[in-house]
Amino acid sequence: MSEPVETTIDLDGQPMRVWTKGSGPKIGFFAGYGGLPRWIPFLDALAEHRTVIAPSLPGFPGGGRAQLTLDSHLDWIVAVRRIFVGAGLEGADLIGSSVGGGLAAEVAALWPQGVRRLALIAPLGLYRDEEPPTDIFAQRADEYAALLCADPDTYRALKLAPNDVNPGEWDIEQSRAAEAAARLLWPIANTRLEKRLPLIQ
Amino acid sequence: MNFLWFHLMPYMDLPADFRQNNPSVWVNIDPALFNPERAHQMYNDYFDELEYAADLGFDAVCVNEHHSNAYGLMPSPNLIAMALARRTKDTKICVLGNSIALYNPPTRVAEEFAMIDCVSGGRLIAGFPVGTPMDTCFAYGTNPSQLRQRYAEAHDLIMRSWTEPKPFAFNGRFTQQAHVNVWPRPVQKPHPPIWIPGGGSVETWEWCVQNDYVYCYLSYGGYKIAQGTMEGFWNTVEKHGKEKNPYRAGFLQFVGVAESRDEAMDLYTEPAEYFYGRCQHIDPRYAGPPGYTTEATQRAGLEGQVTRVADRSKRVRATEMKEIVDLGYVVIGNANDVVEQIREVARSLHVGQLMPLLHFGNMSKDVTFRNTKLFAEKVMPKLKGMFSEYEDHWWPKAMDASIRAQAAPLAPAAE
Repeated sequence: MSEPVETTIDLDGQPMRVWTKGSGPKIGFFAGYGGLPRWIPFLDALAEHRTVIAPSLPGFPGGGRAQLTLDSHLDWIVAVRRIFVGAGLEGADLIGSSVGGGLAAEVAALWPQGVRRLALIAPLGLYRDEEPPTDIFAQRADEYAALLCADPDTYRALKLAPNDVNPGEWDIEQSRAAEAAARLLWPIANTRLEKRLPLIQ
Repeated sequence: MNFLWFHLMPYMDLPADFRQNNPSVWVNIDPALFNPERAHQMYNDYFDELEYAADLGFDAVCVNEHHSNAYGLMPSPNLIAMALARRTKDTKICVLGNSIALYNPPTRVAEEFAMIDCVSGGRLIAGFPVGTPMDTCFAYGTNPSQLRQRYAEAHDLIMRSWTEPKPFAFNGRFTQQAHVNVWPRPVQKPHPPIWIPGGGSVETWEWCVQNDYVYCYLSYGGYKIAQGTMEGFWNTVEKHGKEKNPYRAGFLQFVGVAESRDEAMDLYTEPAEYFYGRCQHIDPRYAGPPGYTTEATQRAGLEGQVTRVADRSKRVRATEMKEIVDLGYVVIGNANDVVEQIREVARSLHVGQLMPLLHFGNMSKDVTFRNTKLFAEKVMPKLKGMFSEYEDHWWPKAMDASIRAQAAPLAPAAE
């Protein structure tokens, strides 16, 4: 598959990566746990009929160390809204997956004119006492693949360092993505998202 | 050289098949394994052991903080320290320490440490560990991505609350207070000596050197594998142009003294294997939350003590006594053997604040008393004079004995 076009937007001095590919009406994508270490086939499928725009979330691959100044949930929502606007997604459709899903829902809820249609894939931020989600942060390293992906080999391939990068730095980048998710969701991934969901139009 | 008698206060009744049938000694260890009536006995024996060490002339007694585990039963070391303040006379009291990021608000640490310092007449050493991942992030739910930032802010608030001349408002990122006015304040001025137990991160070395705090490497792997870490610390000292004073550094070493090496193997095998086999049985899922190990430390190829222990591919592996001894995790032998080995520990690591661990694992009170007595009478005197050419700037400055209160002796038991 061909590579997406890579641009950057500025968030308080941090360059934030934006990947764009395809043609047609714009659709935004906020990635899930671990972010996008690579462009993925799912986005290629979307790009057949849409201009897919995938900005990096703070601390995710491509998102620098922007998570370090985000202390509260409000800080996160504001940062993600700024990224959404900076990537040219105002008024576009938006998809969010897991970590990105919770944040996509917040953006759609609080700026209803900003998102046309919203699609959420297993958004994180909702908590049910009767059936709490698996603790994504208390797993052994070899358990993640099967936990996050129906085909664990797909996950392993996504996370494997390419030949032309420094493997130490790649590992640090993956670990930073996990840290960003932790910073947002620790300890039980309950952001009380249910309070904002009713605002989604 | 100073000798601090350190107690970890483990739960000593974990079953023999604990490793095989339980995933972790920490965080989600089965509460059914805890018997409070047995713990009653253990805690009281441990107090007897600490007080005995004080009576025999150890320079300090030392306690620490851990949560939700059978490795160490002191979620609140300050409770222990306060009891010791009353039951000891001149011995210094080292709380190593309060995991300050876990106290809400952090002024609680300032208050409790000040209480201990007042009651003891200025005998407190104030320890501020960051805390293990298990304790801070999983048992107490602190965000691993914020832990070190919270720690730094807690430190600043505590230090200010001890030293600001007037009440003040604190506008922190994580804590905000309108009226900080800690009563009591410590006896020691400007504050008790600050010691930092660290397991291996570059930031801790910088922190200790820049602030002139004692860096304590509390290693379970013994002195042989500690070289790299201590070298990193001393390089940092040199880099900042400060004196390579051995009293800047503390080190924990397991020790088992006996009349002979054979007797030592006899007495100390089960306790050592209990410690390494059961107390250190940490599930790796709780040992490395993202953000706990900083990027700088990752790049330097270092890992925290605990992460290393729990990572099955790299950990302090040995769980059997022969290997435990061969690798130097535990120093054993007759008094002369131990003198030579401890001299080598102090010399090779350049450490002036030595913490021999004389109770470990499921060691009985009887054996602990014997180990302690042999160490105090046959080992300590031969090493006390080491590093006498250096001045110890990091030791408590207690009130003069002539004006210090003395607890009345306990009434004799009724006949």
